[in-house]
Amino acid sequence: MSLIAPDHFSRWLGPLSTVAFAALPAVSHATAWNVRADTRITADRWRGTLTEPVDRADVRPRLSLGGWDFEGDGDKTQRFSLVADLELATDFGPTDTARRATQPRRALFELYRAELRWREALSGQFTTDLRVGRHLLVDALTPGSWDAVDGATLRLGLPFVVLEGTGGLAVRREWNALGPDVFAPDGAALPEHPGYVVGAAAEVAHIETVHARAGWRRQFEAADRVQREDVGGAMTLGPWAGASLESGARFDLLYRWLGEVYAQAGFGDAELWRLTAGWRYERPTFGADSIWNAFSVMPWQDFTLRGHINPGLWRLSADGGARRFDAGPPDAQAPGADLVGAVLPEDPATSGLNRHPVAWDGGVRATRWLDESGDLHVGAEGRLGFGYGGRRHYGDVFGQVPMLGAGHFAPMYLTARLGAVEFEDAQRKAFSGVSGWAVLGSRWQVSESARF
Amino acid sequence: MSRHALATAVACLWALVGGAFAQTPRTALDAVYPPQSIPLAFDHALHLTKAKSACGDCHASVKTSVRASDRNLPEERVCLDCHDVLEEPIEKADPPAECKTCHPSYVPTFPEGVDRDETSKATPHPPRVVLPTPAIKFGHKLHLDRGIECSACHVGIESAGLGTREHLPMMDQCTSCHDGRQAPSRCDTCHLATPDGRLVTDLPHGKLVPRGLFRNDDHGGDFVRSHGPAAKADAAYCANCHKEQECASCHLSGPKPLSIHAGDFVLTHGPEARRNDPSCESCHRLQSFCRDCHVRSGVSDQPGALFFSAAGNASGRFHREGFVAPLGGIPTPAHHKFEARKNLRQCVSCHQESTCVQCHSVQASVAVRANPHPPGFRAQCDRALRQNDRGCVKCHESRAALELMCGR
Repeated sequence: MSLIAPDHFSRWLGPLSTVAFAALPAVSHATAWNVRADTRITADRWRGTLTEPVDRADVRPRLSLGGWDFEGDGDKTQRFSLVADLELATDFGPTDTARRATQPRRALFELYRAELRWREALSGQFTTDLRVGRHLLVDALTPGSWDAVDGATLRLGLPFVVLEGTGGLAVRREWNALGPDVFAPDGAALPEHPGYVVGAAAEVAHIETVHARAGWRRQFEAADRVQREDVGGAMTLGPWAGASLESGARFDLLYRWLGEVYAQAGFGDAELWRLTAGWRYERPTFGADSIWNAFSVMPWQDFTLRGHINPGLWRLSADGGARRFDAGPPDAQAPGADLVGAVLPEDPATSGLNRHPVAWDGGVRATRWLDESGDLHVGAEGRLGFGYGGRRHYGDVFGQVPMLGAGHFAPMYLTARLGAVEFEDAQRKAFSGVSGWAVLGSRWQVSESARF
Repeated sequence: MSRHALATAVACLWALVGGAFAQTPRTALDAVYPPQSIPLAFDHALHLTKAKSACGDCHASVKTSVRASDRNLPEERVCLDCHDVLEEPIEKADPPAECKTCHPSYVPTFPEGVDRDETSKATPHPPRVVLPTPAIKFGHKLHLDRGIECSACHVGIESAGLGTREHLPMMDQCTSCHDGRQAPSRCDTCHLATPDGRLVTDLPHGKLVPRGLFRNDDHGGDFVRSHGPAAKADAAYCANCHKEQECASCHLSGPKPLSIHAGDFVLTHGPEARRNDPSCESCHRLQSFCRDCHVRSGVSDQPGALFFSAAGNASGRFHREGFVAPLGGIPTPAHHKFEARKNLRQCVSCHQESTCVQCHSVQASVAVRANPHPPGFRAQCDRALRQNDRGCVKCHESRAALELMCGR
């Protein structure tokens, strides 16, 4: 098979973009580079209801590369830029192999982004913005809010509107080298061939009180192998300073149903307080290779209320809401219709007779900033959830302290949390109890910047 | 109350309350306009009306000023042009010419033989004016050359006493011209930016944090939990300050952010995961991330003893009695179909399709053949069959039979 066969090409398009980036300095005059290396280490020891402690660790080194100002004219044009994020995800655990942990360790290289960007002001109000390589698409067209493409997205800015077109290969672990699996549609996928992505969107631009975006996107392997096809949009409206309305919707063209609709309105003083009320409807959606989209899957609805006030250096917030599930219509064809008259079981929250169980959730959080930036702070949080699904109440106190600071640059932060949870699984009453945690973390930045 | 009446009432309430709060005065953000110290007495209104001065009479340097760091306050000699401190007696000078006219409570001592207009030789010095450099880009010359009046940006100065940072332009004043048509609207037109065009948010006098004046960008409260709608509507706007890497560090990686998943969430996440709040899909895939860990932990239908749930569950069963009805039996309210319809996600976090196919397939080897489709599915399955039949043929082996059923 030729190296440039589509399958090979798709597999290596993202990494090839990175190589292309590395070649850029040789043909240009790069004046601004940014190389950032993060290593995040998480180590847990769990006890709780287990008879023996279980250990688990994550070690995730991440290398980010950025380059800007290849023309060396400062911030006058900023026409070309490149970014790349590569991570080695090393998961150790649970490490108690005596308990039949079948895959105790794994390590994966994942390339989240490797994109070259070209932004140009053509003339007057006409602009272009081209991204080539592995890049993310974040909008209302994706159930999980994320899509990743090995390809190109072009945005063309016109007076009052921005037009956008996307084409490329959908990032899948099986078909794109170093492709994270988090971008794949949820459910079972049969990736026999690379998947393609095409899409288009239009955005309102340069109108102060409203921003709206509508688009269409299709993921497919062939004409009769469509993975997803959605139309949708989102809008933010700010009729007055401090007042807001956000809404959005996604319609699944494959199954002809509404996948998601949401709206939330808020108002308040910009600095002191804000109150937001929202509603959301969502129907779980799986990849089209799955059998689950064809199951009798019902949507749920969310009703939420959020508020916060900021008196001085205090930050106080509270939120609460309900998620209402739906068991579907009790008609003759629906599964479960034969249950009418059945004896109510112990817990109506998890009973088939409870057609609209509700899960309640709420929380309060108070944080006291100890400096103007909030880098130094202490606080407390309490959350409670009950109803459908079970009960989980927790509270904890937390704080962050900068160490070894010089000026406003603190190379090391220490964070700490101390808390406890009381929980009960609605379907497995025995699996409940009280648990607690003590967490100590630190962040160390070797230097704010370095010259070579 | 009808739905229309209710909607109208809510809209009116929102308009009234929103309109009322729209008038709430906004104050300067310390990070952009750091606190000032201006121990002076001055009356802009008096000078602009009674004395009929023009702004440029005192602030002459603004005509050539191209940076926000330029100090465009009049030097003392400019004041002395009118306030003749050599007038005798000084109490009768018009306008008043005593030092304390501008420097309240200030009583200088001049060395023997030094005129009072040689103020630099007086002791002690009056308290200093402290005006830290604003953390923005601004050129007075650029704006004046376009014929923009001073009062367009320094709103209220014509009726004010001292000019303070409250008379410096707030962002909504800037964007009345910087709308992308009359003037550039990119954030880094005015805000300090890094080489990649993102705004500098860690400023010497605080953090630059959106306050909800534009695009509903208020980051207060639990924005970390509620930012989804804002990001979906306009991700490019977020990118003015945030790298996508920042999003990825929480959304696309394994280490759990403690602000979302406190403490031992891995052990106690069951109730929250069942509610899917916060949304699991925004970071995790059910069939890979969730199921992978469940399999490794023994919480799945894979062979092997249960791990996390073994304690306190003597039967070794994960699901309760009646979750799967025996062949020919009557499903009880504990039957899994109710849970699956309400919340199929939780099933998918442990089970693969092969589990479902055992009973829901129409293959000859399957005895139950329970129909999992919603009412009316047959009438609309044609399109799904045409677009992707992979899911269909997992249970319905015959494509021809499927086409017949779906009316093709």
